[in-house]
Amino acid sequence: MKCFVIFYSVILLKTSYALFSEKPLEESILDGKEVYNDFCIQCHLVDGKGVRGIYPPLAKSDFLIDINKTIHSIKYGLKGPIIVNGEKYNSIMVNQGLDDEEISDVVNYILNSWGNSSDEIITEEIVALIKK
Amino acid sequence: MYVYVKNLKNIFLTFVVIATSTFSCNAQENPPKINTPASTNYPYEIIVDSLDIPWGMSFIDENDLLVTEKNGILYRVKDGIKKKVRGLPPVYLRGQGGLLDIAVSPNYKKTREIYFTMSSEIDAFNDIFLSNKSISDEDLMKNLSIKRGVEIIRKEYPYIFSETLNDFIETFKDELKNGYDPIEKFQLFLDVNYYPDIKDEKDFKEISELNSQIKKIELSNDKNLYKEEKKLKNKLRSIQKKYSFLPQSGRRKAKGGHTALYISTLEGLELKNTRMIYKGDFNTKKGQHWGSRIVFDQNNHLYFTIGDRGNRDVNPQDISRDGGKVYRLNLDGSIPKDNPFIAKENARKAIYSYGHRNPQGMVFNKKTKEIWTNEHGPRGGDEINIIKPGKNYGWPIITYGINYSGTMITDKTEMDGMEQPLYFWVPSIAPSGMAFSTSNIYPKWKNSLFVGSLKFEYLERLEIKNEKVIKREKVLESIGRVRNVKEGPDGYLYVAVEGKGILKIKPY
Repeated sequence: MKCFVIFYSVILLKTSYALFSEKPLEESILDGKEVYNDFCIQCHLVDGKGVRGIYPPLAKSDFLIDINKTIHSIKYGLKGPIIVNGEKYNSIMVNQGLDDEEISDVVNYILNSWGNSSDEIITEEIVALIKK
Repeated sequence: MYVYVKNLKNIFLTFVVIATSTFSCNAQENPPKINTPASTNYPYEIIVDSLDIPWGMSFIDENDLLVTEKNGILYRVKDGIKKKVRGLPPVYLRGQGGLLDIAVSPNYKKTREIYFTMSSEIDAFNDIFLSNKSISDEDLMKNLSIKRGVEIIRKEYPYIFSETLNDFIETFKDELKNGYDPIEKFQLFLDVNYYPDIKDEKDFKEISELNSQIKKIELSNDKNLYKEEKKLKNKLRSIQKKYSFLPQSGRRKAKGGHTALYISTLEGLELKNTRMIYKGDFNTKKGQHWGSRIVFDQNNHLYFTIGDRGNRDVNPQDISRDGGKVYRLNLDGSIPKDNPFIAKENARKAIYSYGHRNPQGMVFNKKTKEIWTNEHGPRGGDEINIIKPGKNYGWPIITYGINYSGTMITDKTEMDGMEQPLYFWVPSIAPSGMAFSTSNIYPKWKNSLFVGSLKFEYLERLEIKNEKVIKREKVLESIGRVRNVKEGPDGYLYVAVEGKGILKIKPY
């Protein structure tokens, strides 16, 4: 019963997020595409595949499984070795100076492009909660 | 050769790439292919370590070096010890922007002055503080009344888009200077220019209604109404999006930045008396193409570059706007009397040449007394140019490159009244930094040109004869993203590599 209550409230929370989040997902993805084309495309390329060994892929990328880490790396930058889809990367991604809303938009775009799909909607509030 | 061709599913696009390469053969006969000589790894010494993106470097003397890091840190490296310099103005970190180039004044020994460029959020600086003639107190008061007017409008219309505001300032500059009521003029401006575009009366009413509700919440300062305010703003945005006069996305609010040039006095580890002496207009939230490099010629002129700021169809070819330009100033920040557009109405008088995309390499060629630049072009369009006063370097009307997505920008590679590059790279190397080797330290390299490659992570050496590249060579292969290269006062070559630091190339 306890378990059910928790499960139920999680579902309720998720649904209410979906219903009452300020920006519909489609609009967020559209705005996110604009952010992507402005700030990310130079390295991760138009198909999100990146460059093997230099710029990690975003398309079907196992790095995206950890959403908090994904948001953190966009918000504060990413440095040091990582492994994406079994391949080693060791470059620097600098903080691009995006605000929380822009980050939520671009993450929604990435999570729903090039064969990626996600049930989770990233909101500005979620991004705001990710601290250094 | 083209890594990206593999990814192109569309045969037509592949054809475009081939066609572009064919065009390139017409204008630039047999562009020299990059050579990979047997010994590419010259000995080097890391003289400054642990730098993420070392953008600019400038020597005070051979044991005293200033280094900027893009994320907003200025270092002074004296006798091998790296220390932070205090007193930088606020840096606007956005996309490719940040703290950019640095240059020690030719008169440093006397004045202790240094120059630097950085991305800045400060707005409409040039209108207020830069003028062709020296500003009298009376003029300054008039210009300040523009500033005051803009502040009043910003307060009254908190959601005004910067483009709209900038248009307004252009149109009503004189009225504002002469002290007319800014709100009254602004409403007139909206009536004439914008509101007739809103054909739907319902939308018009709703926009006004929403605006006033948002303003009420703003004024109430009630934090509980935050969500409500956001909802209203989103609603407003969704209506506004229907109308072409507004920026396509509501996100681009009256914010953003542009490249600014500062002068400062260096006292030990402190910047004093820091003044902005130029600022690009108009601010934009775009992340791309800020430039920037600073060099001096032998006549005490300062040159600096600003990229097209992500607005290629407007900025580079319009000399009344900043971006996509090489600028020339006197050392005190005033505008040289013989600048090419000094007499041209509405022109930004500091412009020296235009039609550039994103110049991130520049050097004064002591032999020919010319300013040389390299710039990031689109795919296949990176260029070396010799900068001549008042000339148009063509971007984006002519280019040898295509969009990074594979689509065409223009089918023209040359046109009357537009300059041809001395060289263009196919494929693009993403050039940054530029230096000639003029010393006798590397005998085989004397008079060679050096350019960093961000994309292929090496330092490129070019031999040039009669303004033609006759040889290209990789030096320091696979070293990392090369952001900058300089010849030090000791004649050695210094190379700034991302994630590594600054390397000094040793001869064999």
